[in-house]
Amino acid sequence: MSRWILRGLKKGIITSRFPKNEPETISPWSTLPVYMKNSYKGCPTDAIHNNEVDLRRCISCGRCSSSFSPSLNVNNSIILRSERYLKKSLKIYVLDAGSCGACNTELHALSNPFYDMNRLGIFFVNTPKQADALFVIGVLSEQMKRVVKEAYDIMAEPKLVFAMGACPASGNILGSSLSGILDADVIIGGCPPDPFVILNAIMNARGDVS
Amino acid sequence: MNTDNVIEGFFYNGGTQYKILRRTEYPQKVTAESLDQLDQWNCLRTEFQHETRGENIMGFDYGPSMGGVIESILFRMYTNGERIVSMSAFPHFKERAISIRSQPFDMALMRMERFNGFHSASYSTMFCRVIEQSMRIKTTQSTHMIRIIMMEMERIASHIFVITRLCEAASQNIAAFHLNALRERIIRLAAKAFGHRYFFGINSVGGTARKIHIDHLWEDVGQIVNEFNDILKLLSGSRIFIDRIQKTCIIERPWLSGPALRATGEKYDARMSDSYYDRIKFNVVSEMGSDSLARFLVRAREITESGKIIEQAVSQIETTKPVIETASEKSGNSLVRIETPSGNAIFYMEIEDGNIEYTYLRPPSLVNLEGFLLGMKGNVKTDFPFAYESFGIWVSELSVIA
Ligand code: SF4
Ligand code: SF4
Repeated sequence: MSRWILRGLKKGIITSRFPKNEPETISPWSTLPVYMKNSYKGCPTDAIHNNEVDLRRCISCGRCSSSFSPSLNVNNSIILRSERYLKKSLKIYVLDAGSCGACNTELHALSNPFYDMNRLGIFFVNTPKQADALFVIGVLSEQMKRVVKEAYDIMAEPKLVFAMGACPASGNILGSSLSGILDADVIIGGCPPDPFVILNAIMNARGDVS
Repeated sequence: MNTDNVIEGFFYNGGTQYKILRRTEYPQKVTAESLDQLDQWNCLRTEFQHETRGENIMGFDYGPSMGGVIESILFRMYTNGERIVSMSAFPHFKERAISIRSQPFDMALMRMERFNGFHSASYSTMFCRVIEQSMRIKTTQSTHMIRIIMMEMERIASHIFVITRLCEAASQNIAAFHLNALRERIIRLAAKAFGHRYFFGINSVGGTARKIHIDHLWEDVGQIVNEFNDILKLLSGSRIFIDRIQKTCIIERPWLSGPALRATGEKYDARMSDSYYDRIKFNVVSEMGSDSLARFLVRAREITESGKIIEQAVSQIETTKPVIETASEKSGNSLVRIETPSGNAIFYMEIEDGNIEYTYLRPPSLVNLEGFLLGMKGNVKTDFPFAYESFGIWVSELSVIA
């Protein structure tokens, strides 16, 4: 065991200072593209209107790179409802409704020492009964619609629903969105959203940062 | 063991059945009599049933949504106490029907990237290559090397992830933290070099679509590989960890794929016959034991091999700018094998007049899920996480591609 501790000490502190400081890094094309020059007509999801990008539709494909460049902005979410009672501690239940796997592993990354979500009072739980927030990832497959509803119904109040990534936000290029099944309180853009974007959305949804 | 006759794929096309044998380059017609035996390889399969009936045998459901397993899937364990008599799986809950037939290549490619997003470099490369081969598009050496770098970085990230999950299952939390940090570092390198943590948007039919930035990439990857090997030494000294995975879920079948196959002593890896790797030296790793420990060791040793491959590939890149070559034929068909981190995937495609007319994709998780279920017979219920995580199965890739 002592060799593990020694190794840890040698590495020093690697945990981010976010949200106090700016994120140390961000995945460029997972942030919202901003207009630079010329017009671009080939967006596969019709996310661009009047040279502005709809974060719900953008699938981070980078096809528009001749006219747009990544904003590198961590603020890539829409907060429709926030819940200040969950400021101190937020327990998340993740529900994979038809994901490609990348949103799953980005959520898993939140517990790595770089992000260390526990320091911000964010935890994963293994049952929706103990959860304050339901994170829906992936497009809504027919069979998972019932499962998503059941999970939501057994959660106690107050509770928040996060539609994480372009899949539940708009259906991506792969299927149906969450809309019509549950009303999302928070929509997180990106395909997949960068871990810092996810953290930022959580903090905003519980009224931590402006 | 001669495994040349192993069936790796099976599909129906235009009323005729075809099989794909290991190490062959074209599908072969199948006679009606052998169909029963072949159905295991049908890509449209959605149920993996191994029901056991009998006195005192009960079926326990686990899933489809549960915190312990990272994706949605339902398992049914048949047991009369602590030991598992048999086990079924129902992965169709999160199934997506991904349409690529008759789609423009670019749209189909974006869908393939999201077929298994965690292994998107492998699947997008495979998609591009099957079209390039069918339509005689001559891609550059730099394209090949860039694709190799993406796939090998993906392999390192994926193998570290599987090993992390094994550590988490065995409550080796400190090891899991260290490994998780290493995976984050390799993914951040991917974002820096390729603009996206999961390589979305880089591949294009005929080449690559964005400029990449690979200065110091090899040194950074090399450092991560060295640190992984330090962690491996510490982990291998943990009796608790080794005890949990040794002799767990022993399964030896010639049709297994990837690390699960190489953990049975079989030195088969699709990269051995992949022309992209002609000028790259690497060792095919195998282990004996066919258990979770052997699958763990194969992955651990492959991380070093991937590091060596990346070093060689970086040195063979002539340009990092996007290059896209054009087609010389409008029609054709082709079969491509790619060694994804979970095992070899096979993609067969027919193109008519620049249009995708027919596709068949056999992902490694299709056969490895069956291997996991068979291997669980006789294990105890608490072995479940150590067994399942050791296969690196992705339910997302059991979606239907049509
Ligand atoms: S990144 Fe892709 S999806 Fe997003 S705006 Fe640009 S072209 Fe559209
Ligand atoms: S939003 Fe993108 S990364 Fe997330 S599950 Fe959907 S396709 Fe995968």
